[in-house]
Amino acid sequence: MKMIDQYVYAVTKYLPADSREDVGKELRANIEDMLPDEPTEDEVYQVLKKLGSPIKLADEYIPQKRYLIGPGYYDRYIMTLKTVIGICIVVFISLEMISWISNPEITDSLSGYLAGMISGLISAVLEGAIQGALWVTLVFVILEKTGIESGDIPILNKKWSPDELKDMSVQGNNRITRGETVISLFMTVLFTALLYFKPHLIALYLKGESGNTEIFPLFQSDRLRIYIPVILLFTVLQLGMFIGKFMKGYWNRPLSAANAAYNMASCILIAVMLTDKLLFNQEFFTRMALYLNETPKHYMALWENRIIWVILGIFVVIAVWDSIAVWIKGFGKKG
Amino acid sequence: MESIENIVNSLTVELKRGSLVLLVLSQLRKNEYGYSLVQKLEEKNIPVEAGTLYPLLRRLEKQNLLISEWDTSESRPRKFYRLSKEGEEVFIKLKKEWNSLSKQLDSVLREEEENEND
Repeated sequence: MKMIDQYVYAVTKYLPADSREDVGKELRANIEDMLPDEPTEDEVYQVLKKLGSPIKLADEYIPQKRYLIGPGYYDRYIMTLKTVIGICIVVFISLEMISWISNPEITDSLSGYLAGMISGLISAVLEGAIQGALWVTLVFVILEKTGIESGDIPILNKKWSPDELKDMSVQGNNRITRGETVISLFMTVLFTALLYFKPHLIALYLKGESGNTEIFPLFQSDRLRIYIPVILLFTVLQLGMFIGKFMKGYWNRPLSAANAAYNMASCILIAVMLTDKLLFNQEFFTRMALYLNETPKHYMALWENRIIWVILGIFVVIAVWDSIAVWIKGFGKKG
Repeated sequence: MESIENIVNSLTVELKRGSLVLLVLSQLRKNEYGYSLVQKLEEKNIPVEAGTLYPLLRRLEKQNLLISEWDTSESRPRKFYRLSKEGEEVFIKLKKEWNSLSKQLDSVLREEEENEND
């Protein structure tokens, strides 16, 4: 009887918790039915052999196939995963190197110095790989669950129609090059990682009186932390678009629209951040003013009245330009 | 390369899987328990793996096509299944589908055979 217990356990442990007891009871009754009263060990053995692998049997008991990423997405998932992990590792290593150069740890020996650097690099590689894998997987799981890409979207009650084929004229100028997508994602990851992990690297580096380098970060890190969730959200959206572009290979309507919406939202975020006085380190401006031989007060006024708007203006112009260019590609003439 | 035999085997498995539900529904006008159904089908020369049948019975029960009941009158408890009202309806409709499908297929295959004999 012990063998039956083990078999039933081996099957039910793969099932959802709420059906385990029920299936176990049922399965045990079925097995016992297949046996005579007072069965021998060998008879039990033969019956269990006939029922076969517990994992396979459990699989039959599970109503839907359960997976995060199905066969339809698997190859593209792996391809995207490799690219994004590669980008993340490069970014994390770069950041680690920059922060190392700008503020090397003081150790007595060369070996200690090297050990510190190597461990820093290894953790940067691991961190990059984990972050990349996590977010790519998340986006693909969303794609898999919603079925957005197939054109059939059950939640919205939308069915694929041949109209969507019109988007498919790839020979035109709406093609998206691999390089373009990789570079834009690289920039996004770099920017996010910089703000998330090493915001203090964005700073004014001045030679102090004692000969040491003095560092004045641009951001108040406490205040910046409030923005981090939003920035992360933007990065995930950007990653979603990246995967969309990567898989489609050309600008279609949804992608162009998403691109425009994303650009607009980024401009709003940048405007909010730039005009948030608490976000910036006053010390940074004071030092900057001194460095430029200006009075701090005058420099602050210049920052608030001019520089902010110039920066914002540049962003808006780029965003509008990009949105329109992409919009024309996505919505333009279809051959 | 897959051998012809393997291809035929896996296609046969698929063909049988599609008709298994109909087969099971057809036997459940009367109460049956899992193993008695396996034996009954075996007697009719339609061997079905117990490991396929038991989960199928459970799935059909979850879809409300079967009603089940534990019989505890004997020394061992047994779970009996029979068609529910919905199951009856599904069975009749599915049978109709099967009949028309097999008729169509039959006539297509016969046509093909005649052409070959010409």
